[in-house]
Amino acid sequence: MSAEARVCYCYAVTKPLPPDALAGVPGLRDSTVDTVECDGLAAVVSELPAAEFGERALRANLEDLGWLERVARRHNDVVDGVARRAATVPFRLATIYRDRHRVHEVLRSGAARIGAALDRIEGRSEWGLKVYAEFAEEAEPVPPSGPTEPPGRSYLRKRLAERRSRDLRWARVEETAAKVDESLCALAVDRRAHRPQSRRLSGDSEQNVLNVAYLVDDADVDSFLARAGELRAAARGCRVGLTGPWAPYSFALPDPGATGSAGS
Amino acid sequence: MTAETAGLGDLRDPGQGREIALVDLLDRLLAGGVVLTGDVLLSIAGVDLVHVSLRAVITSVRADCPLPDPWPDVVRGKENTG
Repeated sequence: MSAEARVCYCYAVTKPLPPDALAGVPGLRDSTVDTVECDGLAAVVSELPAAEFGERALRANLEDLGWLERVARRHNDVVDGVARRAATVPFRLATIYRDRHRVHEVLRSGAARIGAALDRIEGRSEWGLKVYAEFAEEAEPVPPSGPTEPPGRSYLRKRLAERRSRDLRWARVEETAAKVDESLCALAVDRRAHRPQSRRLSGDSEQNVLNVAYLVDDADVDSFLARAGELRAAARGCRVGLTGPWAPYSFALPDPGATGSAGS
Repeated sequence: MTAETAGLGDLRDPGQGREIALVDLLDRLLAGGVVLTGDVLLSIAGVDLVHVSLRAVITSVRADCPLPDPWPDVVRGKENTG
């Protein structure tokens, strides 16, 4: 493999775009972003040095969180740039092919699946909802122990009361999260649950208890956001956070839970 | 699509400031997106090829990887409460 060798990095698939539509969108390493087209689909790609994005280099680079972050952010910037122009199904991070011919082949063999995904997300955007438990300042008062109570007994009583109050608060948080979810679900066309985020990764001090993505029709975005705002204001013991609009990352694949169901 | 974002500023996750949180990005970029087998095969699906640091990231965002976290079950087990 020479130093000049290139690989083809795929960001997303969209419908064929006018020439130069992506001229203002810088790719990874500020590379040119263009498309490989086949059967009414356009893969959005950049040709990148194999020395950085080839298999061996990638293996090492992906272990570097700084590298991963830079690539993830630029990948998302490109996807957003394309999504602003046309319906876009993002690829998973680091989907890389030997060359443009291979991208063409892959597009042709996956055309039905990708075309269906594109149709499903057209005119819709993804919104992320996270609910966090807010426990710190909300400790419930422990009933005072009688003056004659033995210290061991009072300690146990206190522990028990603390535990009960924690269980109660958890139950409330779960209930609120479920209500928020249900209420927003009613305004969305689809929903995917992500795994609650680890505090170690997010750096949040609060425990994330619900991490969901909704696919929302453009026509319903305003009411969805208004509802989210109300729910956030009404939530007690929880913090409700919304992110978006995202390109429909979470809806690029068929629902793994809905095997054989007739979701369109 | 971004034009309306301006009006939503206060709805965006206040913990993440102006920049998208990396963990939110990775939720989507590593657990979402179309998966087609690439030629460069470790493509994230090949968790085995990658060492501990990235594996920690992947297992924490991908539902198909086991995770020793005590909390998610609390939420997940409650689907049928009416």
